[in-house]
Amino acid sequence: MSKIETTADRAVPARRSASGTFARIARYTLVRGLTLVITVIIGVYLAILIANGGGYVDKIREGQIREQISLSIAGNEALRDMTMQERREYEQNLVAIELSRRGLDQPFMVRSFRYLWNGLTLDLGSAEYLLSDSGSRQVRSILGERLGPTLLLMATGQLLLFFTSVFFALFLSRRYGSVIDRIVVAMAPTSAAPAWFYGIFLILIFAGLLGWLPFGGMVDAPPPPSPWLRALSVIKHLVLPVGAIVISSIFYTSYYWRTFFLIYSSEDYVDMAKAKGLPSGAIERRYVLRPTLPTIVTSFALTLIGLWTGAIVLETVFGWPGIGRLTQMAINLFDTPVIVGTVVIYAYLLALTVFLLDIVYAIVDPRVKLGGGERRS
Amino acid sequence: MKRKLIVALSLLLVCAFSVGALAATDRKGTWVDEVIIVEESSINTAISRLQAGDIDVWASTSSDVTAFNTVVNDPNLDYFQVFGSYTEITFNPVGPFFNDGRFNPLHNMKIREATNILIDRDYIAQEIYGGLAVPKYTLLNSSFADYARVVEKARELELRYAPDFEAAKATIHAEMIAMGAELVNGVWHYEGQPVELKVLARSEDERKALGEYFAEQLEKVGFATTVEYRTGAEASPIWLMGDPWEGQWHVYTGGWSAPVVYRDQGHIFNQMYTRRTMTQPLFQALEPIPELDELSDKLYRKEFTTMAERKALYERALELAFLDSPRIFVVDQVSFLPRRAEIAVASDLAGGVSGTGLWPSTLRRGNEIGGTITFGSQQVLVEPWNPVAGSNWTFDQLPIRATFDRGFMTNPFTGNYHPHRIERMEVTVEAGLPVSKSMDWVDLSFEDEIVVPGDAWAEWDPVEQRFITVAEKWPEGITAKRKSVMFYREDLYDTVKWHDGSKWHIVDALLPFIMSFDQGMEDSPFYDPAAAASLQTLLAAFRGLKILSIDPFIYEYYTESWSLDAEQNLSDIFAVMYNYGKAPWHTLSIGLLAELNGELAFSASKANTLDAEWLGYQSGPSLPILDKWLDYAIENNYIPYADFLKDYITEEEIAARYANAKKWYQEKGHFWIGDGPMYLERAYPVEKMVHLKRFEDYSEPADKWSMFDEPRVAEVEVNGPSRVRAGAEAVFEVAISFKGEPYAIEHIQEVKFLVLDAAGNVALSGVGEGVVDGLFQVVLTPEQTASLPVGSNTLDVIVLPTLVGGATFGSHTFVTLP
Repeated sequence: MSKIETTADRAVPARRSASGTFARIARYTLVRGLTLVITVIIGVYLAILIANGGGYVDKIREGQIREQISLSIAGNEALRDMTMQERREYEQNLVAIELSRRGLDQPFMVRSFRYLWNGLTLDLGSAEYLLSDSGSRQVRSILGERLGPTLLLMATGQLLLFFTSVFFALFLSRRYGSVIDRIVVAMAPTSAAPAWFYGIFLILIFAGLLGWLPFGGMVDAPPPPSPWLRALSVIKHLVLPVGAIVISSIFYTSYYWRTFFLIYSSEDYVDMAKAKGLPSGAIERRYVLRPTLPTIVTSFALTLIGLWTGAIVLETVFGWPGIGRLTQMAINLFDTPVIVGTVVIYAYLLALTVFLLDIVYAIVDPRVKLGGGERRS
Repeated sequence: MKRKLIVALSLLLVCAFSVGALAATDRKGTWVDEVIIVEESSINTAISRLQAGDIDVWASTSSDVTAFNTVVNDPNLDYFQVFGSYTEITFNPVGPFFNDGRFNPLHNMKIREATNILIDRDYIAQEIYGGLAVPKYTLLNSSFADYARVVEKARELELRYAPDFEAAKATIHAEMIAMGAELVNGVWHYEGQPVELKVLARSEDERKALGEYFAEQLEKVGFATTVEYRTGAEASPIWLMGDPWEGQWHVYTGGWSAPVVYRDQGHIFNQMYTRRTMTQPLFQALEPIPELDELSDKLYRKEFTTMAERKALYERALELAFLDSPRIFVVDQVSFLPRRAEIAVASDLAGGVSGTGLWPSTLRRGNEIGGTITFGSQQVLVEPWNPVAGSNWTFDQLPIRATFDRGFMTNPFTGNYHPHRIERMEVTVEAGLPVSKSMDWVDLSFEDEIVVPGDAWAEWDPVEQRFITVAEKWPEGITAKRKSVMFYREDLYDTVKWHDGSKWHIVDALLPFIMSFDQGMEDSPFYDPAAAASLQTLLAAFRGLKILSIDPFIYEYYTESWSLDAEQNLSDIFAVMYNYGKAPWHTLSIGLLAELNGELAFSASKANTLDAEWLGYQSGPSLPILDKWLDYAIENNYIPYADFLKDYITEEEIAARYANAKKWYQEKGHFWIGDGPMYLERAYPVEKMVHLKRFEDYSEPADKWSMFDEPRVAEVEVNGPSRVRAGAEAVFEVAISFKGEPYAIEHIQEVKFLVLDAAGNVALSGVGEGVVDGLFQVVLTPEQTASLPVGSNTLDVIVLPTLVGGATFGSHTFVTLP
């Protein structure tokens, strides 16, 4: 007796497949999320340990505090009649106050886990040495105030660089072997020099020699009272640092993307499309850009989170009040809460980006699928 | 008609010039209208900006030789020299054996002493520091007053310890042999092991090369050496905090700096050579020569009764310091502060432009009146500004110093005090103290015993909110070593105004004076442990304050603290908190309200304890909080310590003050209200800029301090016979000038001379005599020339002007014939 296949019977595998896919996605998401969380925890704690030299920095900071206090009271007339013992007690009292203020009266290991917990819960707390530009001790204010200028500079520079180079590279890939293509290839090694290097020359030429543009800073001194004039002033101050960012990398990134596009342009399916007589715009969009999209998206996403970190030397050269300089100052001063704040936000952004990229890949690239589900034949 | 027109035009021109001249002389406060301070961290960019006219002064200092040469070679640029930083070589003096048994030859005093002549300080100054340094032999800074006071001994020691490699080598050889070491293949060995010295060289600056040079010198006399490079932060746990008996290092290239021009450096012996000042393990391991230990403490405690006695102590201590040599001094660094050539401004010899409160009054572009001058500064707006315990960064002090007024001004070249809002002062010190005066605004007298009057205020009572009198605190009575009667100018209340339009009030002095006690007392609601330490030092010396008159403002101040210069024996409660700035009572009050409610704190440490923001009147998160408490103060006509202060101020006066503050905040957007020649227009924290404007209601003439726009460092030239016959009189001329003009004779404190023989020994010494402005004579009598050794001799002349702290030297070589 043959079994009669019902609709319901046919539907069962389909339901199983849907729930199986969901389970696979959920499991994958959970495992991926957990992995990223653990990675973030390990990364942040390693940053705490490194920033504090495993606790050795405490010795350095205590030494600095004792030295500063000793020197500050060395010539104090009012202490002249104290006995040595009284003087010692007086100094020790001052040292104790300062150690307590810096949190150095607690063992490093205890503090390290507190830093970790506060960082992971985004309770960034108060800085130990640094203050925000406006004078706040809150790490969120310290980072927050610098975030705007950094994003303004880096986003303008990096996004301009990214889109210019991608489209310029497409243009070059269509003109492989042309004069302009050869110039770009020849100029690519100039990107070995960092942006600040070009920045110095730009300052010398356009600020020092020609006097057309400002030496640095974010706005004219004093800042214009009108918002429009102020915005124009900011744009004027952006020209050189953004120029430095673009000049320093435009040839290399254009060369990189151009080579990348050339590889994809030589695929069989592109030749097939050409043979079919599709217009070049359609070929670029459908057969070159589409398969390269995951790479472009990844690069773009990493560029975006890279904006957060700023650029230490470039910001210093242009006197730009960004996060890069702030991070450098925090490292020099061993200001752990600020270092942790910077690292933890970067770590979260990176983890989130990596996580989201997995999803975006699946959307933009039909070849990417999760697990071993049914395949179309 | 034509003639009439010419006459009329001429008259018009004359009038215009007269009005211009009148305007110049009538100008109050500052010559410039505005000052803008922008951040510029790099000296090289700063110089490019100076050259391009983008900034006018770089108010930070640098020792970059290349940058310095650029400034020197550019006719559009000029510079100030700043002295104050100095370099030394510190030894690990413990031993003879470290804990692990290694031999430490540097525990031997004679070897340490010999290193003084092992190094060539001229070479170091010229080659390592590129000329931006001068050789330094003693702890004295040659630009400060004490060097001038003992200059003969200092010069003698400089000659005695002039570089002599062979002598150093011989001494070290003899001492090493005596200690049982042996030289094997040119390397010292002790009990079969090579004697290796570890040089800890600071890596950030010229001290890196200094460490390498010193290691080379040590190797030349037979020591094996290793050089380790460390930043200051990295080196500190090793040399300063580490146990010297662990032997982690032998030599450290150290550096120190003097933030101001010291009038009295006597306390530094204790710091450098004894265990008394520095508590770190290295300093606690010092074993100074007992006599040096004793003399250092005497100089610190000022246990002398005459300047001659002090000089003798000082000279002996200097000699002993060389014999002990736990550290040897190498060079005084000369930093420079670049500016455009047309800019005049006062610059402190030790602290630069930011180190003097005179900079706003002396700042000028050529003869221009008005205009804007832009400063570059390495950092801008570093920490919050508040006058109780706010920022004391020099970068912040630059704008802060322009915004507040004080009773006296510090001479940026000598460190001595000049009266400003103070009219005069009567100083009485205990008989036997070597106090002397050099200016007429002080009356100095001596008394065997200075009894503090019973009704003077001795201490604040935080519970009863009143001052405890001397009679209550010391019923048996008390004396003081010094009494200063301060007489402020009679026009004080009419001429001093706060930037918000409020006139100065006695409570502006009383409130900060109360706070200097109250905040350090545990029973006070405003208690701050950080202030307790300051109170402890205040109470250690303070004996009483008695206000004799409110208008004019006159009071007596009694204390155990005293200074060698009568002028420095002042206690100015017109600007109690001048270390951090100054604020009127009404903005201090709203700060106190905010602190009382746990929202802000004056000190960083209390801010940490309260988990509140550190109070900043200039910008930032404090402002809305202060504004909120200003509204509260307006509503309640609040005054702190009301039980006491209400006797001095009326309700109407309180209300008027808060109304002025509110108006100011609405207009300017901040609470930094001062009474100085410039006011804060706006602080731009993120853009790192400070905008200052001239305060038009400032009462003092703009040219009041023009004599301090540049240091009158004397230029000296010595002329005289090239051959002197023994037994015959010899006359030498000492030409003293400043920028080609003769130096006024009344501004020359003394011209000293030394005659040195061919071996560098002092054969004669004495003082020259003034002839006319710019000319002194040194006369060697027949008896003196007869006593000179035959052969080459050098006349060394030391000129001590009163307008600058340092001495200027000149010399002339002659041959003494039999």
